[in-house]
Amino acid sequence: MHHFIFALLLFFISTQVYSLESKAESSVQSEVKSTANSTVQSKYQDLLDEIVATEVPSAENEARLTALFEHQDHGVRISAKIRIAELYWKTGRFELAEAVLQDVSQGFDTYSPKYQVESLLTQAAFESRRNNHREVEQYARRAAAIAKVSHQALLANTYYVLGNSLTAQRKILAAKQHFELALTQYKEMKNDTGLFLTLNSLGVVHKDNGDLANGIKYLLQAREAVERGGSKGYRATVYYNLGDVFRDSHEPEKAASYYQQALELDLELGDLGNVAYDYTGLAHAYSALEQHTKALQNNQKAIQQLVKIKAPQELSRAYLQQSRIYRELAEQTEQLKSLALAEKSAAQSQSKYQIMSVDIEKAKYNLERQDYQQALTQLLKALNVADELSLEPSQLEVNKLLADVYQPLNDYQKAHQHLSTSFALQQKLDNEDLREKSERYKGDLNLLEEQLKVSQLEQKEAEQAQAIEMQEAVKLRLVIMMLASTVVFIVLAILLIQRRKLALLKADLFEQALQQKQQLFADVSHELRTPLTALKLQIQALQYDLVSNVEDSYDKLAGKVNEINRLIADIYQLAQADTNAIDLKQTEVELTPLFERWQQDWQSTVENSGFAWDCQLTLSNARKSMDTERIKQVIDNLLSNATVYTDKPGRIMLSAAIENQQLVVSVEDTAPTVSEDKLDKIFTRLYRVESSRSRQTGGSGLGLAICESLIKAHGGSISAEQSELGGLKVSFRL
Amino acid sequence: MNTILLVEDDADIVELIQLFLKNEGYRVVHVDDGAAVLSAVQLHQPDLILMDIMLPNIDGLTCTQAIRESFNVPIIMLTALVEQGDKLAGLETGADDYLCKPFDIQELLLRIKALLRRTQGQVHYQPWVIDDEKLTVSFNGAIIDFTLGEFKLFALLYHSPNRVFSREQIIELSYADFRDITDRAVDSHIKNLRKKLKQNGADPAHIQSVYGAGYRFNQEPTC
Repeated sequence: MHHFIFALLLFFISTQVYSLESKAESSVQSEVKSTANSTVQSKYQDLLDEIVATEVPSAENEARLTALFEHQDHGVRISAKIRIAELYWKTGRFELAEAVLQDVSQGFDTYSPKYQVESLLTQAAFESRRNNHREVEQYARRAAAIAKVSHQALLANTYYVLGNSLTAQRKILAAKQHFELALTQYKEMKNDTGLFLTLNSLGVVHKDNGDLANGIKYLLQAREAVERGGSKGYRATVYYNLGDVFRDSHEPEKAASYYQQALELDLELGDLGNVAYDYTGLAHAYSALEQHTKALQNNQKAIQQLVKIKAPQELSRAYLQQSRIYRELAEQTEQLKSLALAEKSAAQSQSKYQIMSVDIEKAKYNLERQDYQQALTQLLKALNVADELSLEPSQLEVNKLLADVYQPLNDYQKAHQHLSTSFALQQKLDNEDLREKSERYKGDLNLLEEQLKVSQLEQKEAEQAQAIEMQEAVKLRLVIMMLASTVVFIVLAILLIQRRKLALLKADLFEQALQQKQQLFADVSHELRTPLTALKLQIQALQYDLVSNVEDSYDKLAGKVNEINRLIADIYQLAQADTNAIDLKQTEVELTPLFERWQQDWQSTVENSGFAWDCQLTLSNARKSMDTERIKQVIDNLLSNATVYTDKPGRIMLSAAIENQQLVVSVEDTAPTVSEDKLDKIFTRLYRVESSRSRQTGGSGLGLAICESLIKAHGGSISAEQSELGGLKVSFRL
Repeated sequence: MNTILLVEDDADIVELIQLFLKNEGYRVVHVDDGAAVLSAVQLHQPDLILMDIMLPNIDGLTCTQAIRESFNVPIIMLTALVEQGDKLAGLETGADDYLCKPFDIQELLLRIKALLRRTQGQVHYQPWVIDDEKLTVSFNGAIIDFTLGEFKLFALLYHSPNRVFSREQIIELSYADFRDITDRAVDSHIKNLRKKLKQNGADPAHIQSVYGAGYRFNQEPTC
């Protein structure tokens, strides 16, 4: 069963050879430093890579390889041919494969040592597939001899192949030696694949020799190595061999599981030979599980494959297994038939071990049929071989059987002798140490399985954790994005709302200003229409000759026109105040001389209007910055109001004083006064207190409003109150 | 001779309009305060009123509304307010016509003439004006000095002329707050009412006794 390693080995060898070769060439080229050469080198490497990539059998790959048969480079040619031979062999075209190999072996002497070694190893691999182990050994020894002398790089490979061939021939000791040699070499070369293969083979050797402990130890190491990153083929190999281990340790269920895994991989890889071994293994496992029909089915599939690939020893084994299954099914005819076929195949294989195995099985058959003489002959023959090959498990079995045979033949002495020999052997095999080791390594294997499961679980968990982490991250990002967008949204909303509020406020203010303006216009138009009406009526009265005193009428007309003119001037001034367009010409002046000069004007005006004049100035030497023209206008206005709205005879008083560094000017008069509730309305435009608005008074209703706007333009304040004199008192502060 | 009540606060305009109206042969009565309008209407019983809107104390629109509650005298509004809304408001309150200042005097005169011709013989002044809000009663423009109880009694009878109210009904309807009122008290109040009517130049027979039934308001007590 370990033999099928050779099929995998071919690929291994090919890549191995080329990678080593290209390394050597590149070192040479680095000395030459030729660009042209390096181009050739890379081209060459490309082709080798391409050949390596043709592992799986297909028409396309075959075409690609055939195309390379005429390549100028010797290495490429041989590689292509070896690979195509392998493909032929894999797909059951053995004649073609052999023909190609024949072709390759021609001109062998002209090859460079590397190709000689490789060619020999390939031949060995093919012989191995056919279980011609003697030939394999011969090829391998030749290859090893060449490698040792002229191509060290492939020495480990040759040892390995040699080891395998020796194992197949049950030359266990020699095989172990060669494997150890290969192992050392691979370790030195740090060749992981080689290491794995050698470990695998060592495990198989030990196991086959009944040393389950060491067998498991090496297989354990091999499996560890292959799980780290071996190819599918290597994994199949290890699974298969693990199946064998469990078979030998009598755990058929586990064995079946491993065989099945190996079978699946081998079917995937399309390797007919390996598939056969997998079926054999499965058949044995099912047999042990007493599922005989299944066992028989698998065994027959195995036989079909083995017949195709001409592997007589394996075929013999398969037939033997078939005979055992039939024995379980109690079908003697079939059992015998199978035994005959097994014997025939064993003879073909020339394997002493296999011939012995068939003999033992036949002896068992004869023993059951109580044909003791026949059984004895066969058993003695088998014992010879077992002793020759020093196969302790076989010796044990044969001795036991011999004891069983001598007993009914009444040769108790010989029976006893064989029984004690078998007992001694049993003792030896049941060596405590060995059993303990075996159990321990079995434990290790189980542990490893657990570890693998755990690590797979861990990986799964890690993946899940990662997925969850990613989900969390995505969630977090989403939340952050949502938060951010919410914040942005809120900020935008606030900005928008504020802007809108501002706009609304502006609009409100604007609306208010507009309304005020409209109101003013409405009021002004009303105020203008009233004197205009009077004017028009006056003119019409003249027109219709209704007026007796024409001169008086003209005076009235002139008065009305003046009134309208004054009104318009007032409106203009107010409009200026509204648009903050009052242009103040502020200068700092000494107040006392200024007011004394003005006082003379006012006195004459007031006294001419028929009122008593009173003036109180307490300004000391104060100076004030102001637009004197405007301030005089305000006082003129207040005095004019006083003269118009005061009953005669009356008194009008002006007082100017400095209070808290502010100039305070008041104009007051005698009765009538303004009621308390109307005092703050008198600054309203067009407001008139008097009940009868006689136009004779000549007021526009805008005078106080204008005063207020002028004082405010100076930054001062103006207010009205009832005077102690009995009339109105208007005061302003600057 | 038609009487025209001119309500206007601008002295120049009053003088000139008076000049024109008198020239056309009208009798002109002039008022310059909104508060004096209603009593002037009752007192002078004009055939037509020229009403300014911007007036001291009570504006022309309010005055018009008050006049319309009691009298159907034609009213022409004269105003400096020229917006459509003002015009509509004026007409809505019951003005018959509306002229914007400055107006053409000939147009005003023609409109006065037209309006007078249209309403000739239709303008009636009943002497009583009951103000249910101010709780006053005036006769020919003069307010009669009624107490609250007397006012309620008079108003009850006046608002349902010719209907006879029994003493019980009178107590029920006009003395809701006074439980101790007797028939005699009603008689006494009626007496006081008649006395005050007489004092104010009205015929006390307006309050008529119906024997065995009660009292009623008689609009035309000439019989």
